[in-house]
Amino acid sequence: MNIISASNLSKWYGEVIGLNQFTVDIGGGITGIVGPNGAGKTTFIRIITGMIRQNKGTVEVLGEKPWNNPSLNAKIGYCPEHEMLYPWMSAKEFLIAMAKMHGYSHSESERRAYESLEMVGLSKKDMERKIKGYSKGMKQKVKIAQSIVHEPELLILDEPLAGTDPIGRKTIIELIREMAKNGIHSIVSSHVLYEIEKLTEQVVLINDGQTIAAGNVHEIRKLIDKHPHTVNVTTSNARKLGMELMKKESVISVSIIDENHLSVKTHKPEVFYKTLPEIIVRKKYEVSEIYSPDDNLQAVFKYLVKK
Amino acid sequence: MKGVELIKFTAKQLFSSRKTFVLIALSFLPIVIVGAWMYQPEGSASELFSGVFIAIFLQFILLIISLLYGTSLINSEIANRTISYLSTRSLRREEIFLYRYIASIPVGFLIVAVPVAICLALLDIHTGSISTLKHLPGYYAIILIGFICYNAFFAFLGVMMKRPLMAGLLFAFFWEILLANLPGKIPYMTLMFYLRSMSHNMADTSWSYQMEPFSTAMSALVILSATAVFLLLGIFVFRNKDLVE
Repeated sequence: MNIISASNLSKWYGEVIGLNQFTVDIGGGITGIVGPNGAGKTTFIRIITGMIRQNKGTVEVLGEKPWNNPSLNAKIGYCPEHEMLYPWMSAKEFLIAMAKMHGYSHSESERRAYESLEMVGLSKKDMERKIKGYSKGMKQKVKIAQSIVHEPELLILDEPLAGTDPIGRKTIIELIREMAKNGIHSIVSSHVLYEIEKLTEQVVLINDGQTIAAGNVHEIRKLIDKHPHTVNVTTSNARKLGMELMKKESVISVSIIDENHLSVKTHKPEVFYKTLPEIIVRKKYEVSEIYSPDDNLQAVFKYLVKK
Repeated sequence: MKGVELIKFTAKQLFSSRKTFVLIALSFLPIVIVGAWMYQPEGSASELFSGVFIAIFLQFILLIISLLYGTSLINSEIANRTISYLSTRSLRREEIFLYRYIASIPVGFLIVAVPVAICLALLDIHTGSISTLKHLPGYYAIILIGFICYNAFFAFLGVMMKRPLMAGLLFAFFWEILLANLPGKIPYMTLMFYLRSMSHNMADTSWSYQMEPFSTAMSALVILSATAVFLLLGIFVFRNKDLVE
């Protein structure tokens, strides 16, 4: 059964198109929605959480229409991208209020609030403090806690790892995985593919309001890896290093930009990234920088869109 | 239960906002006027409070409180993006609008009710009678019905407009005060006329219009009908609104 089915969804804000004939079927488990900033991820999430209504197309979440649907709201938990909260209250008070607005009694809401905040790793002392004194990471935890306080069937998290420190990131990733083990489905959006890869193999790539690819992340990775990958190297001897690299099977072409800079195109980046350090160490070349302009989602999407 | 929680949540939110402290300070200003009168009395205590109630409490403080609270009920939630926490609870949008509106009434009422009672008590202590305090229930009824009506209008304005303050100020001080004080039948178009009719009937406040005041029942009917219209419009707009800043 599909958790979310969207067909030809279009949404525009005046002359700006948020989603353009967006079609996707999302199954159970954890699914990553990946795309560069402005791709349409948040617009899609706002539609499936009933915050905005599509101009065209249809969408069903857990078999129901999301617009102004309180019974569906009881089954979904939403963690927004922004860090706005109610600074005048404590995290515990906030979560109790949110649980009560789902119809739970005070004692039950209190228990759920405490459990949810504990799950996201907020200390007992911090739970009682006013939110206005919280760090960005703590606010992120509170946002996630409010989305799970009513034990939803589906968790929708918009950029949940943004602004978190490595420990916070690990806690959130483990939490989402733990929820998945307990049968809670998750939709997680991010503009960083490798973040999503740590969470799930199921991804939907979105760009310019359209689905670019959907399915197993490894299959998509292969598709991406077929695309000639550019690596720029800054070294004390660009010419010699370039000649060495040209001998390698993984390298398609080498361009010497100047004495210290060269640009390499490879169709096997994984092999290339193993080979390059070997040559550098063996030949004792001085290398000050290696970077790939293709190592960002925008480049990958441009490539996929051109296809 | 869900609705009661949203009412409590909204009331706490309003009470904890910075503007509430400013509004409380503002609503205590008439006490200074009463104090000054007590120092150098001129005319009767009833006359003084009648003027203070109409000119300051009703036509200024009540309108300002209602404007700031009413427009912010939904508008600020959207602007601050916290609306996502409320709109994804097990509540219909209609309920969110109505419960937040309901919460704003007692909060506004309390801010005005306390200084009104203090003013009346001070005047009666000074005169040694209960000539003004006996009208307290009447004054409270006017304040309550004023908040019921104006909060509904400003809440509607808050969901309809992105920046409702300017339009709200125009409505409050041009429409409700300036037009309400023009000669002829123009004041019939303002809510203030009906509130002042009720105030005249229930609390014996001064009457400066050329035409006769409406009866309390008729005035209440007009005001409550207008309230119902504003609420329906507000609910309709909010129900169909994209909740993005």
